Amino acid sequence: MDEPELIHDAQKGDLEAFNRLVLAHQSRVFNVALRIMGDPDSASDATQEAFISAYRNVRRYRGGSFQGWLLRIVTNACYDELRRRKRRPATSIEELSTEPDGDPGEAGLSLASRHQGPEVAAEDAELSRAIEDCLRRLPDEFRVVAVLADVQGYEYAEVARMVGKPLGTVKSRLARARARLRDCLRRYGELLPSSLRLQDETA
Amino acid sequence: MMRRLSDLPLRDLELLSAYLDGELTPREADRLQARLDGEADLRWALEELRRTVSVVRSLPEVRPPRSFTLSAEAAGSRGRAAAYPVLQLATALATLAFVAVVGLDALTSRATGVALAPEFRDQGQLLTAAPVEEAVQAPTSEPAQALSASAPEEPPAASDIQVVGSPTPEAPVGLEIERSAPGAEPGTATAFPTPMPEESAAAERAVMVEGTPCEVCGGGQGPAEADPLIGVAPLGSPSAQTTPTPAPQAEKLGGEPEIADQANAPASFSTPSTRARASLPTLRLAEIGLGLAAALLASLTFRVRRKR
Repeated sequence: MDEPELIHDAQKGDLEAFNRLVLAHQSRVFNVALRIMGDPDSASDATQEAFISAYRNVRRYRGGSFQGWLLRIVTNACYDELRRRKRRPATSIEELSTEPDGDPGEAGLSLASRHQGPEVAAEDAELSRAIEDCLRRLPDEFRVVAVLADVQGYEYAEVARMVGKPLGTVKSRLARARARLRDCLRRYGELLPSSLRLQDETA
Repeated sequence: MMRRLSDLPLRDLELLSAYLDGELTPREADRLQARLDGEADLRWALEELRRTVSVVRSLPEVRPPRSFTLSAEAAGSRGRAAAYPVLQLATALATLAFVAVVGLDALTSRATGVALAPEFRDQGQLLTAAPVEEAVQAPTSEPAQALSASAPEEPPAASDIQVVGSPTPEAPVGLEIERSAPGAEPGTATAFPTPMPEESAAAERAVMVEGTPCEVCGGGQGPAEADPLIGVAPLGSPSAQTTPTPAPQAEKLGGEPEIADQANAPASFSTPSTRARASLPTLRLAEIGLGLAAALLASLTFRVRRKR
């Protein structure tokens, strides 16, 4: 059964059909949540919340990319949680991001690392942690755009739809996010593959 | 020499970033290309952006720690969520209808009381004014609480539910109000008219007679007949013997006995109350039905809200 049929059945209340959609998209949805939230537990909560919300509102889905629709829902779920955290300063994201060697936990263990030798895996994990750390240090609205456009590779127009902002805002946020990421990653220079090593000075 | 990309003018940064993704218009791209040819800093910045994007894009996918498929229980809440606003509206409507019927009932009761008043006054049995306030306030405050129990924006709290729900099994709210209001049975009749002008009393009486069916008066309806009927309420008149006849009928209908007891307490007052009793069952039944419906809907709404 293809996706449009599953969506159609889910809109009629077919839970099994909806769960097949969940299985097809949960990895992408979880990864977006993980990169935005920065930790697997919060990402799991946001993902579950997003799928429940999606099921309740699946009748409102009106065509277009179903994954894009799901990512918009999970992005909003993440924003809600981040706002809640800001109202509770003790567990704020700022506190987490000021810890340069903060343990990214499970999130640092990638799929790739499970299929490679121990040395490569360790390097990958280090690099992943460096990128995650720099992503965490970004302001929320910059991080969301960077995750969708650069980590997930969506085009500007899709990102604009997902975050519900004009294209110009997305362009501007992404440019500033990239500049900050670069300035942050520069400190992890030795972890980067030589072809990607960032340069401090003009040639 | 430039050390931080963040130091680059924002406009240039945006142009370079969008250029990298092919998101510039051809004209913008040509103009930027011309600048890149002549500005080393710009070339360096573009290359740094390109590498940064490559690094970030190398972040691998992480396998989700668990499956996020929904259980039937989690999914079931969709039906409940959809039912919630409908239930809210239904509860509000049932409560409003209930309040309206109770109000109409209170009006009719008062009119009956007014009609009886002169008789008791003549007999020098006028009671103190104290029960009047109770009687007047009781019907208004109780429905007000019932209404608040189902206000659409503020779903019912447990205590409010009890207001509506408490009388559910045996004693519908409408009867509760009627019974508790006067305190002393004869007071219902005597106390009511005290603050009420005679004209409005007569008007209300007329409304009552027109608005409610008279089952016992043998087809004769309207003010012309009603007045004499109510008026002939002599204390200790033989007509008291006729009172028991309609009573069993009323009992079958449920709820009525309370009113009958209330009105009949002193046997000598029974004749006028027979008139009132006969005309009210429809209203009482409506009160019972609507009261039950409102209570049921309110508790259902509350349960749905908790499970959402």
